Amino acid sequence: MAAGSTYTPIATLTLGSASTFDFTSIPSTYTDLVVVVNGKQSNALCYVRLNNDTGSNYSNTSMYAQSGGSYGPDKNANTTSFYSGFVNASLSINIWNIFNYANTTTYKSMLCRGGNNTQLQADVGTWRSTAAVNRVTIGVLAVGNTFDSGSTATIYGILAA
Amino acid sequence: MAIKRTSSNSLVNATKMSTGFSSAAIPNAPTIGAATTTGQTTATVAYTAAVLGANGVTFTATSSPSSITGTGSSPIIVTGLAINTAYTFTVTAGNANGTSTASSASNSITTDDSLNSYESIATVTVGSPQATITFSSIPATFKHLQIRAIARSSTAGGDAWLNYRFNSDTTTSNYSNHNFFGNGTSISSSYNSGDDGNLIGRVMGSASGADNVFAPNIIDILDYANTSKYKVVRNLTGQDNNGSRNLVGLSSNLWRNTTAIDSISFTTANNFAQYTQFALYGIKG
Repeated sequence: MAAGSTYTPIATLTLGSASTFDFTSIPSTYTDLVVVVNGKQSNALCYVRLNNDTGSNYSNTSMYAQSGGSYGPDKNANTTSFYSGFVNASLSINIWNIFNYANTTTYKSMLCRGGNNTQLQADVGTWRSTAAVNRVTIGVLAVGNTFDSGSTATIYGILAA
Repeated sequence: MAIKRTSSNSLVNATKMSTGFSSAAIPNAPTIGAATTTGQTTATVAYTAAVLGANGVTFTATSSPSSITGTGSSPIIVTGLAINTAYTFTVTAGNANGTSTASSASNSITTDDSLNSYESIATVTVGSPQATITFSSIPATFKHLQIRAIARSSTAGGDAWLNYRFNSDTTTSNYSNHNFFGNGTSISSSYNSGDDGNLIGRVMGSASGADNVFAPNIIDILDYANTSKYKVVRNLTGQDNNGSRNLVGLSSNLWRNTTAIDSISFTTANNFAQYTQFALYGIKG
């Protein structure tokens, strides 16, 4: 019944200097994309931009819990990227899932779960475009929009049977 | 004790030699057994010590290629192998006097592929609206299952929970769940058991403006094939329609049954709409 192995690494980036992660020329041969970012910056949300679309075509719904015991909701509409994930000066792990990314019929749904030693973050988002995703850019919603040098990211492809 | 000299340096006996005759002898080669892959970088190698000759004290398995070794009693555990690589092994026996000749080579094994721990099992993509999505005859060969889904209801205004059932178990008291979710303006939690106990995720309704929006779900079913524990399920889910009809949630579910899971069905308050897709994956332990 099993159709074979998947969860295939497509590319890994390690930042030699402060920068965003930019995965280009992503093949359309998978069903879902998963991006695992092991990065740091000052306390800030991250963002995901697809196909370098800077239009107001993104939205997110989020919730977070912080080490001090506080927690809260968040949502944003008509943004120019998917606000999601969280980094701080300690190493943070955020995992983004982009569903059915190569289809040209539906809007693209995304989930993110991440955090670090100070904050837990969960996000769902939509990119209101039916274009196939071939580029994923991930940055930080802070001055410079960049992750610190040494941050790493790997993008995986998952192929459904 | 019947002893015979077979050569100038080798003394053998009808039973295991443990007399002074063997004090200067090295062991005979062990008989090779089965080599077995146990992971991406590990294998085990079975052997049988030689009946005749001096006792072996240390038994060493050596790989070919790369001459990677492991020591111990049968089966010897060999670590540090390369991923997705074919190996055969020989085994030697050693004592204070030296090391035996090598056994014959084992069967060839190939260590696990690093990408081979996550496999696609089956996918359901909805064409025309349907009430139930079912995976049946799920093999018990994995450690965990993961379901990745995008779901939408075919009924207007039908934002709804996603419900699941294992092995067609309709005893509602066997299901319960805890949820932690936010709708963009507030955070709340819930507990359900019984009739609503098998809700697990979200299904986007097809109300105005949302016909292209699907609710994503990542559902993990842990240790699904074991027959001694209740089954634990967790989900990361949500729906987002540009600032309205929002929800992001984490859920933890319990199915109070020790039966191995071999079928999973999903339902919602209304039919699943076209392009809804549920993909089932197996994760090796």
